[in-house]
Amino acid sequence: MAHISIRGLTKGFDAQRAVRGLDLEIHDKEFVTLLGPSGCGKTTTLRLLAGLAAPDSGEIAIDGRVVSSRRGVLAPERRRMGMVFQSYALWPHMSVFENVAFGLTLKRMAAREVRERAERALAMVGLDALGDRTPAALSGGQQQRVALARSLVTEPTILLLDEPLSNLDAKLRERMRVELKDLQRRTGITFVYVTHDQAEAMALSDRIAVMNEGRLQQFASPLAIYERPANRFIADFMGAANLLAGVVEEEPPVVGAPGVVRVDPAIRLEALLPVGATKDKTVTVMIRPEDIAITRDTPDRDRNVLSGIVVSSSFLGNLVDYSVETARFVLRVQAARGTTFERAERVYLSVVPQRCIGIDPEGVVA
Amino acid sequence: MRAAAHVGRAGIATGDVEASSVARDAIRAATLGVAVAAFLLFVGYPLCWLVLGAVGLPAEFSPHSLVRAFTRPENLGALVNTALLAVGVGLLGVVLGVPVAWATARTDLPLRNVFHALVGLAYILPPYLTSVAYIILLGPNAGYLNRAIASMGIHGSPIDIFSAAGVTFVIAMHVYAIPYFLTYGALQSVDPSLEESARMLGARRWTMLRRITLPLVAPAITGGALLAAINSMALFGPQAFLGLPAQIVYLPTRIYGALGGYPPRFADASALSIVLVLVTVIGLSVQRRYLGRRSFVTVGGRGARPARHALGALRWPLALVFLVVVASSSIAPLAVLVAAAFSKVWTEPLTPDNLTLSNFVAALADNQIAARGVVNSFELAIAAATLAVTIGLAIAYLDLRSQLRGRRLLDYLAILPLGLPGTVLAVALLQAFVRFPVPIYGTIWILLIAYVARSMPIAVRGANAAVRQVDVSLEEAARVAGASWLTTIRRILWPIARSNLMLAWLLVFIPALGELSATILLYTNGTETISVAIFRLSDLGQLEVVAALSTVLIVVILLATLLTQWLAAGGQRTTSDATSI
Repeated sequence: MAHISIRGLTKGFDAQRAVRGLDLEIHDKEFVTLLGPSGCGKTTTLRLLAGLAAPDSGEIAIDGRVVSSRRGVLAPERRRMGMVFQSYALWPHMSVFENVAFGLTLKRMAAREVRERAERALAMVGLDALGDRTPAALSGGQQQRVALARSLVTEPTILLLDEPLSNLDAKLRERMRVELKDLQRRTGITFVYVTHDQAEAMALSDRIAVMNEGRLQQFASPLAIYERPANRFIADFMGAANLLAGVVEEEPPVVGAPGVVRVDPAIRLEALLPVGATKDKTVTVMIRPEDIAITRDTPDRDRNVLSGIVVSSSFLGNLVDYSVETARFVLRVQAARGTTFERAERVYLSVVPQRCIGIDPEGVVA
Repeated sequence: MRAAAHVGRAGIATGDVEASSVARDAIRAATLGVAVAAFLLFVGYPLCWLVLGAVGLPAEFSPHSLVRAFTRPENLGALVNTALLAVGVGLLGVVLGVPVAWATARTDLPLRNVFHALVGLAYILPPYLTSVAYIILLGPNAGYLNRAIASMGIHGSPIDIFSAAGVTFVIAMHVYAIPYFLTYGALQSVDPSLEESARMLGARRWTMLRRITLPLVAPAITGGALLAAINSMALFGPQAFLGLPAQIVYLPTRIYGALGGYPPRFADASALSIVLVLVTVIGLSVQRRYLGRRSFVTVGGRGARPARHALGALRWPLALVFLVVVASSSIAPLAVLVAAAFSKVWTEPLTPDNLTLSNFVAALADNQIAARGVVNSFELAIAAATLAVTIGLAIAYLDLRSQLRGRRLLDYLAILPLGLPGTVLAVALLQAFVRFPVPIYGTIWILLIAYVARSMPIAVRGANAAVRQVDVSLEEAARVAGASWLTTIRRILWPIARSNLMLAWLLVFIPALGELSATILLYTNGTETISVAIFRLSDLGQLEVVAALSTVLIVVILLATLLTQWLAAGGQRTTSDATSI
């Protein structure tokens, strides 16, 4: 069992590394990612979880036992957590094997058992042949695996990972992603993962906690965060988005149906509205570039259709990215390969109401 | 999603947290606290007494001594002599150091590495040993050179090393290494394209040197001259060995005189010390500001090495001139001392009948003062280096690994002894410990404290570099893996930082082994050191035994220096290992 409760956690000597009133419930065996731009407080939160820093207020409890509060902090060595550092923090004066075995030797375990368990951990990350090397003699990806083996060898119930893939090249990063996810499923360890890379967060997590300026913005599944971002910041941070400011003109007739938003005196969009968005309230309409259909002919629908001119296009391999200038805005559109549109060509853009997401510009959904 | 289900049990659990973290913090706090307390006792406490002493305390509060420090003719004379010495050494340092620096850094001069190493050797030799060597070389009547001149029919010993000029010369032969190394470093980092573009615009080599290169490195040259001048004021050794016999008195020797009489005039000594400290500190801050503000030298990471100028026909003649300068400051004094050490009579040439080992027997066994000095010096240097590096490690650790308030202040306090000449430090310690509850005054412990205090800047800088080399995440990873603070220090920090800490240890050990300027005021019968034995025996004219002692000291210093070079090379290797991970 490893259930983490973070309540009202606050830490901040300077504004950069502040965490302000963070509440988070992380379930046993869950893979949770703390996601946000640099300085959002995600790494500070991880260090607070590890016991490497003390909170100014609030508390952290593991399975109901308070391990960090303003009154005291359980020392990191007594928390039985594992941690993978961004720099890997492999000890340069020890061999790969000694690095992995270190945590076990501290437990006064029999030498034979230490050897067996360290070798098993190295085998798990596919490095059983490299135990005698020094860390400096390994590639970045191998070092990353040693760090992983070292943090898993003591069989922690919670593993903390601080941007563990950020020092790897793109190909390796993708492979390690798959391996990490697989490892988490196999071991059933609760993972708390910190990254600034939204693609990584979406690929790995059961749930993502998006943070900005020390505050939690949204805590939900990757899909929910991508499709229904709680505010403008998240919409912008999680992938590409067209964001159009507007005013609610018609409330939805029934709950869950689209309402109408005026994004321009002359342009009205049918869009899903955020909870509590009444008439005349300001909302931002988010449209993902891949949700917009681009055609030469007039589409056979009368709402949510705009016409415009292609001003630029770039071929991205799996799709084509267009900028289309309409009467009022420039919209980003992504379409599959196939029909190609030339610069200066007149096109029609359309989008179904379910993909026009009205969001509260300042909203927070925790 | 907010669950309050665990709050009920939280209160009980927090109790454990508090108890365990307090117990663990106690080990850490105690370890670091003891080190900091020792540091404050060794450096801060004596400094307070120095200031109190200068205004007549504890006897009576009066500004009398401070006034007298400037009005007494003897004191004024010492002040003037010291100022003249500083100016002379500063100028001479530039004249000797800068041309050699340019030649080794930027020309195809032969034997460049030899020159470079010999300048280093000149700086390593304790300057009082150079003084002894020059007494043998240039002493009136008996000195090698004067006898050579006499044999040519000119009598009356035209060269007398026991003079203001002699003191200035011998000190310059030691400290010209400072402008040399600073200029050398600056010349090496000049961006060659700055010079090349001047050549492209039609400047001849000499014009380029005068209008581009020289202005670029001018801050290093003036900074070096200033440092050399500041250094010269504090060098008790040559001032005493060469100045006192001719009754030429400088501030340190004047302080020595004020404390040598009965009763010792502490107030006078303190007031003069304050003057010396003020001049030193002002000089250091001017030098720092000057170097900081006017550093045009571009340390480009583009790997462009400045081109070497071809000296052409001047190559060997210039090398010969420079060899005379550099050898006179290093090899020559060394050779003279070693030759005298193996001579029955130092004034005779080193022929087979004049050869003997008896001077070494005297120095190491028969002569009580010398033999005691050797033992005391080794004990003191080893203990001082160990203690200083331990304290330095604690201060560096606090600075780099804690959020403790005042840790910056500690770091700053630790470099204060840089502005304290040995003589001044001794005056401060004498007054601080003469009425200290624990008997330290008049024991070997006061010497230990003096050595530790003097070496704090080096020890703290060295330990700081050693700790900085270990990324904090390496220690954090160990904590998360289950290691306690103490285990983390022992198994992670220490093994990685060890070689750099050893380097800091040696950098304290080497100067401590030959320390004279503080020792001379603090030793008593029984706590003599090598330096004191050399001072006293040369006063008695036993130059052969002095030479033997000097030889022993030099051999140990050279071996230790080689070890530091080796460690520094090895240390760099582990640093790159650690950062590549």
